[in-house]
Amino acid sequence: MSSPSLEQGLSNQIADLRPTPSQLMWRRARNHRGLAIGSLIVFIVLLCGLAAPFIAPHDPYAQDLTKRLLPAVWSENGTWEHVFGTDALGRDYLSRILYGARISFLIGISAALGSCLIGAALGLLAGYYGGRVDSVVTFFVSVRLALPVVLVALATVSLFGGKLWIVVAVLSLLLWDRFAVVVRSATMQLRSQEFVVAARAMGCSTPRILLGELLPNLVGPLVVVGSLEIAHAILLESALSFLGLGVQPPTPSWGLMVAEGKGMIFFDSRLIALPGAAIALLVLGINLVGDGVRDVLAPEGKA
Amino acid sequence: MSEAMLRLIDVSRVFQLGGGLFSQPRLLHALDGVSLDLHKGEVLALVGESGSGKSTLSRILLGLDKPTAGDVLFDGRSIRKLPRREFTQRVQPIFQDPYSSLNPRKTVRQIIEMPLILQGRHSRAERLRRVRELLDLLRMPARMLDAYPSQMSGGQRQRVAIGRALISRPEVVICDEPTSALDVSVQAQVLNLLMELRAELNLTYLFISHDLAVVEYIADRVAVMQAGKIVEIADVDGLFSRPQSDYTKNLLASALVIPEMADVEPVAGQK
Repeated sequence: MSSPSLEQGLSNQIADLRPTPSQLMWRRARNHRGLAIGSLIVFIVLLCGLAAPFIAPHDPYAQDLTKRLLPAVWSENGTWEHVFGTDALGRDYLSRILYGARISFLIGISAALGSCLIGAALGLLAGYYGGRVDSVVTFFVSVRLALPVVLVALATVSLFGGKLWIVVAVLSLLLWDRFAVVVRSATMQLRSQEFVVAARAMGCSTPRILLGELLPNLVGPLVVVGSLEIAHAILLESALSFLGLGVQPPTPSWGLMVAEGKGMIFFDSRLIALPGAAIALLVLGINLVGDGVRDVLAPEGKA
Repeated sequence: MSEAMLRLIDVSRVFQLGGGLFSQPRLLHALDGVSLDLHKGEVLALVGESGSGKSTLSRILLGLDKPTAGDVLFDGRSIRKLPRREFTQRVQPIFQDPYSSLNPRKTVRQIIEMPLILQGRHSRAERLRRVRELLDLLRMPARMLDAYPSQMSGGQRQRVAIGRALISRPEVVICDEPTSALDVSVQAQVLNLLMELRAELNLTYLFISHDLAVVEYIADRVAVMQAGKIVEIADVDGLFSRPQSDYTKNLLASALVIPEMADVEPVAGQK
């Protein structure tokens, strides 16, 4: 009677699979407060941006010089017609802020994707091949770190104009260093693992090893760095736009709105405070998400 | 039986250590004129201490490294001239550590079907069918198809690694210490599985190990390596009863200490 029950016990043991890595991840994610708050902020801002054409009360480009500098609804003469008031050209401020979310997300995400592409490619090659390739990539990273971002952006934008895609391209070319460094060191660790040797012994080509075997193991660090770089790119875009080197008027960009409002800082601080708060809120939200994702993906590295 | 699947002819592998602009590089002879025949259908064990060149030899046999001198013939043809795809299909590896030899981001199914994808002549459905067949052969439940390595025990993982090695129906399997990272109870399971599969699939094994008990159990012939050379090669019975070289005698003597270890008093401070 002992042997069937032993068999039973064994098969029961096999039947109880341990939870998959993704199940464990969800469990950790659900209990993470920072991640919840961050995602809520990002989600709301993203929703505002996506739904801007439907929820914005006015055309963000429509100027009406008879309605210049109307106060916000909470001020003395405010009306619900223009909840956040109007700017110096009589454009509805709420609508412009809603549309500004689109620009911030568009630039943040595309710049992060672009720099991820450059950085991950260089980091993979450096980490996998090592030796001379590594030296060359490390040199490029050093060169990139030595470049003053604002100066390079200034030069590029004054040469090619402040079109949206040029701003994205400039930011992509200036923010890839962290991706490269992180991917390089992670790849170096992975390279010595036997599954990479096994893949080579089975006859996998190098591109297949890099993209099929190594890259899936790098998703965690890439997502973490990526979310932090989105925040970085949004801040940089705002800074560049503020300096007049980024997105050009009349596009509703938060950085640009701060710049346009700075002349009125002592008379109508709302013009700076509102877009400034929007930038701060979004960047805070994205950073919370980034930190949360890191905790969820690598719980052992949590300090 | 006498047909050689793999034949090493005077293979040497020399590594250059250090050596900058002005200093002479030191030379390390990892393999020093090794000649060896692996016959069809046999289990040839390769034993020797760490650093004796076993792993270098297995890397060369898998095509991961190239000999500095000498040549390796597979089925009568030099592996330099053999197309890589054909070679990898017919010679497959099993590695030592099942915890790092499986990609943690892939499911069992993705891991096992990889060699078939590389061959590129099987449809999706056919690959799935063969993976299922193989899981059956490995006595693993079909539910394991979508499990990740982190969900499995060491023995299960090593069985997945064996599955990956066998799916392309190879003729030669190079086992690099396939049981040394496993629990003793699981070792026996895996060894028995390897022996059954060998009979069923008509495989030839090159079995690298430093565990002489395992070697005595599984091998037909044993080659003993020391410092990059093969010092003795003999049938398993002959080697264990009448070792010829001093090194082999030493090796056997040092291994025989182990059974007595059970009686040894625990070291002070260790419970």
